[in-house]
Amino acid sequence: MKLTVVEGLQSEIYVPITPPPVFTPFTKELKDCTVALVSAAGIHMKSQKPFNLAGDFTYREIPGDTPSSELMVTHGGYDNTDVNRDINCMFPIDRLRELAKEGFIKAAAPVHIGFMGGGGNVKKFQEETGPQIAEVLKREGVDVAVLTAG
Amino acid sequence: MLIAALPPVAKQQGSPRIVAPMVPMGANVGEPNNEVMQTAILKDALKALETIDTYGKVIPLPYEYKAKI
Repeated sequence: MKLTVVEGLQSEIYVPITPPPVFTPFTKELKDCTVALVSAAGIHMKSQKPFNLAGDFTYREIPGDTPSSELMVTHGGYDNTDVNRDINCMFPIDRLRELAKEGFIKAAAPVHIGFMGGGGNVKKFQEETGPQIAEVLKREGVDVAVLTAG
Repeated sequence: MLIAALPPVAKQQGSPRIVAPMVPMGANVGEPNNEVMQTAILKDALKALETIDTYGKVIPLPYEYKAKI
């Protein structure tokens, strides 16, 4: 049976397209890994420029020694109540440091990343912000990124 | 490794490795000020690196937090 009635006809409804697979095998042991946090939850330092709630594809580098009390959230896409009570429930920086101290991982990374997901210019995120963040993590010798989003 | 509150969305968006505790958006790593739960979720997320061997896998995690909204 032929399903195509009109060649080249396109839907007016935008549908999400799952991007091609990217998978890097994990070859190290956890105790030898430097781990960074990367969050789309709008995390940044109180001293840094807040994200633009109307859409923002920029990111913030958060130094690894930043106290959790110096962090905050700017994100209009989810209920911020819990994360305002305890930043660790979206950005577990204190828990990560404890795992490093315990020897479960080698180290918490010298820099972590915050950005504001949930919309904005997706093309910019894919083609510019994402690769820039990856470069920062490579530069800092990060083995594993733990992301919180979605 | 992505800790997701909305695993179907995370999978559709192409995340290669996903763990999914039973949490609401905004508390992906568990209940605020619950250090035991947060540590367990973070540890299990990292441990899943050693077991996930293929793209797009979602590992449910046995921790539950319901936000009082």
